[in-house]
Amino acid sequence: MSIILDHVSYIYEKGTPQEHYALKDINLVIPKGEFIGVIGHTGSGKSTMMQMLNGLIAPTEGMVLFRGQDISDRDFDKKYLRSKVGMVFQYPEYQLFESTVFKDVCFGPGNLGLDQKTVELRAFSALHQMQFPDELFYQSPFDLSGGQKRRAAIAGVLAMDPDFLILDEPTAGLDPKGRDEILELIAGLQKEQGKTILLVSHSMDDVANYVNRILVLNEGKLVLDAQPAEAFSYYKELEKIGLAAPQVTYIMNELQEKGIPVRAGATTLREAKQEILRVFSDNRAKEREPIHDT
Amino acid sequence: MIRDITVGQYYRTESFVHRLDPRVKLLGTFLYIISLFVFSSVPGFIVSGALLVVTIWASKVPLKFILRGLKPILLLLSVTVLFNLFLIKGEPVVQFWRFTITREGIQSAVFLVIRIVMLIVGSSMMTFTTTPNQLTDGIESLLKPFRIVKLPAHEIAMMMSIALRFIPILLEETDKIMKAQSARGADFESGNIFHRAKGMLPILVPLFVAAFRRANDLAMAMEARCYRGGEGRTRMKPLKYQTQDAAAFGVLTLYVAVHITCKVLW
Repeated sequence: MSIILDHVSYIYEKGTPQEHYALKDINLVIPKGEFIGVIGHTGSGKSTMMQMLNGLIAPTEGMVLFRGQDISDRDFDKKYLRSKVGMVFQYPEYQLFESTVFKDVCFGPGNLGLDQKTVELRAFSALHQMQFPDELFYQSPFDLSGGQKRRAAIAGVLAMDPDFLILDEPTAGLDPKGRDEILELIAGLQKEQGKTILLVSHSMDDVANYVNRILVLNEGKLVLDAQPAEAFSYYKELEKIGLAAPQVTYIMNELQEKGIPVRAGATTLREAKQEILRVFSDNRAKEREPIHDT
Repeated sequence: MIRDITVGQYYRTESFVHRLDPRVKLLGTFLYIISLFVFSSVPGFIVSGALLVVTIWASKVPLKFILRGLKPILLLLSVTVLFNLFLIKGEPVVQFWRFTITREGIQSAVFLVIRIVMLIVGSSMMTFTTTPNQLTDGIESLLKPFRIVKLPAHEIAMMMSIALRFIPILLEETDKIMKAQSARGADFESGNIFHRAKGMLPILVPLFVAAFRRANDLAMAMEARCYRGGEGRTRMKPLKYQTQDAAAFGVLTLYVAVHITCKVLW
């Protein structure tokens, strides 16, 4: 079970002088269980691509296939698709509308035509997965703090029990602690339940810490599809399209330029630390031999 | 669909009409609308039509763009035509089954169509050639004399410009919320009217919350910049009448004069 994008393009204002490509010839396979980071700066087409994955936008050219079926087909069940491919928009707390948090989380599964008991069970477990405090379940969503609202809103999508979860900048506007907590919870969903996560982000450090695959979009084209270490080794090219590598990549590369024999492939703080310690212990081992100044 | 509505849109180009003072355009449109109702006869329509043609020509707004704005009122037009055709009593022209079309009916239908089309095109000529900001400046300036009766001219103009400014923002917001709720399996298309009305709730509540939030933010931002109403406030681009405005007033006077002459002679 995977999502396949086959020569997908999306054209805005087709047939007018303002016609332009938001996406151009995207080919992509998203298998189950991966944690994918999608990066690209504003207007690169990442939102358009994400909305295509659950059928909110139909491609102008090409096909999006889910379980081998074209999702643009007339008889394709869009509701089924949306229950399997969950989409958390940017600032999802702005879509909360019910009188209590619990009722709001019930909205998604309720639309799937499940019986009341299953709906409530799912809402309950989704809120728990997001570590939403029990005592706030029957509060109005409008009285919560920003971080709690964000959790409630993500739980609203999670309650539909999707196999694929798309999150568009889920940490925008949160403080560092709230950000780390949310990212940890999302990472847990992938590790423990095998859900496929697509994380759209500007922050390379966020992406590098969790994902096992990176997609880079620029001007509607998929310019890079690689594992983090490989992706960030192109940090000079990334800079040219207005992006940057994680801060550790820069540090490691500069250390290397200064003649310290570290491998520059580290993408997370932990890897960088291990790498630097390795070089230090190597040096200590060599200390018995005379060293020329380095 | 929303993109098709051109009434109330600004068409950016450089022309005589675009350069005119917004007050002239506001007064001119007002005068024009009144004239459509006061002088509704064949010669009256010819004179009004002539002014409209001249204005369109001088504004350099493409005819295609103007006609596109008429599309949304086609339904309204056809309904009024049908009512007029069949319901007005008088000398019968065509008769079939239970319907009669009368001479008076045809005449009133044709008059009505001409009047509505000229009304819409005429007033949209003002918005095509005037930016919303100019328009509200013009309204503020024209309402100033009514301060004697405690009319808050500046506040009205400010509210109007804020409301106009927020239309595209709220449209975008609506689109976003609709998508977010569709992603949660919401269905806005099927079901009967009550079902659908209930289905709007997940859009309307967040939309209202967002509108209040934005209003609050805006109020705060205005206060942070020491906004305190119109008293003693100066403008970056003060409205000043130019020679071309005098010419436009001349044309308008001539227009009224011709209308009155026609009315007297026929």
